[in-house]
Amino acid sequence: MRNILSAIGGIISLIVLVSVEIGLSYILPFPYSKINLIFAVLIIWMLWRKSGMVVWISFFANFIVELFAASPFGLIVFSGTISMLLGYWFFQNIFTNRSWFAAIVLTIITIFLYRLIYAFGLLILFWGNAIRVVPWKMMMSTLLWEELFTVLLVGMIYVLLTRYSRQFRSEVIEAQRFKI
Amino acid sequence: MPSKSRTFISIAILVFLIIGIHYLGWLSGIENFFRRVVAPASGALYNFGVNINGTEEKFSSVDDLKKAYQEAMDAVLNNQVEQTKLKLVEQENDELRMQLNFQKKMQIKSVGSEVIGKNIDPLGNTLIINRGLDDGIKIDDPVVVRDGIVVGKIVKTEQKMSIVRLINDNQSKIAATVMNSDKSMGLVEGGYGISVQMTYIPQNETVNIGDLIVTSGLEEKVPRGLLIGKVEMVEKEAYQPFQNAVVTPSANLEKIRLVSVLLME
Repeated sequence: MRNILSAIGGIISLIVLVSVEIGLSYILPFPYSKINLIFAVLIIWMLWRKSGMVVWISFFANFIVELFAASPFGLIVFSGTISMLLGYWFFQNIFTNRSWFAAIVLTIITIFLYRLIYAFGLLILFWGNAIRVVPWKMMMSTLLWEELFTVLLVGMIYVLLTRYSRQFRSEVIEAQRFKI
Repeated sequence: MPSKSRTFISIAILVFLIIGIHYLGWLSGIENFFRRVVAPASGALYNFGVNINGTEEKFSSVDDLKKAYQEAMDAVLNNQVEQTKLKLVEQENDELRMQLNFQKKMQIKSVGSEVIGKNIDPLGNTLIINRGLDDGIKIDDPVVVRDGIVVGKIVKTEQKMSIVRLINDNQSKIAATVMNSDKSMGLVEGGYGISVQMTYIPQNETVNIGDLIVTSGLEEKVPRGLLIGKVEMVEKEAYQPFQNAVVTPSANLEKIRLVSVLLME
């Protein structure tokens, strides 16, 4: 029973997250509309729970986003999931200390990888004649604004969490690391 | 093979597998469920976004600005909640009447539809509408607003939802004619911000600022005579075989709420 309830809760949260992401892109004016709420929430979640579940959440969230996109199906799902997987690898092996610095760098790297894989996918589609042009200028401007505003959002959420939650306080992180 | 690489490869394969299953159509049930759940929220948020972001206007002269200011002052004096509501209903009614008159005149079957969203990826300028395959919509069907102003073409269609590629999208191309004495032919292309460009206009033909641009009917699914916009600027280089015209679309592509899809057999 508990498992069913948590699964339903998970699906509802996912739908709410995607709806808010879509809503922000409609409501906020450019360039603020380029903020990537899904990545911001998932990176904070990854630092908070230290769980590889973020890769699957990223997959399902991007799957729903893809249903409302004009791009050929698979482009957003593939780039979103693989970049989150690589982001998780960076978190487990390189930026492991869950500091504000790690949060910021992980956000920059994950979004960069997301757009890099996305651009690579576009190139393949272009070579396969599935699309007529690759909008490099638009891609670059999206990447820059997305990085800037998502990093700011992650930074703000991180500051709020360190203030109101024990999980991100340095003494707790140190204690968890050295099993004090 | 290390376990981390194995995990990476298995996840990548799984994602590919799911993408493949999508193209086989086996996921349509799940996809339609998510579309049906998210679409109402998307529609409401899109309309809210149009309301709060659609207040900016561009003026070409000081007189226009003064006129608009006077109108705004008048509107403020009469600004009562009931009147605003009534105005909105009237506008919607006018729009629907215009679309209905246009459809009768053209004698082409069409489907009225509401816009429930717009593009969320950086690939281009698109709209999401709440009609799809169930209503007879097919890929490449032209999409119009008001009394026949073309705003784009259908690029993707699902059971109850379609995606419209707007004329200012960087992948959009529509065969068009200038309403000048030569009836110059060309191609209206997007990818230039809010305006569009008409390319491949023969160098020896005269195009003037203010000339109207309509669809030429040379495309299989786009009827002749749908209004696209007005020439704002002509770019003519002596050494080039063709001249270009910068065209301002007749419809405000940022504020579209209702459209008609022309069902071309």
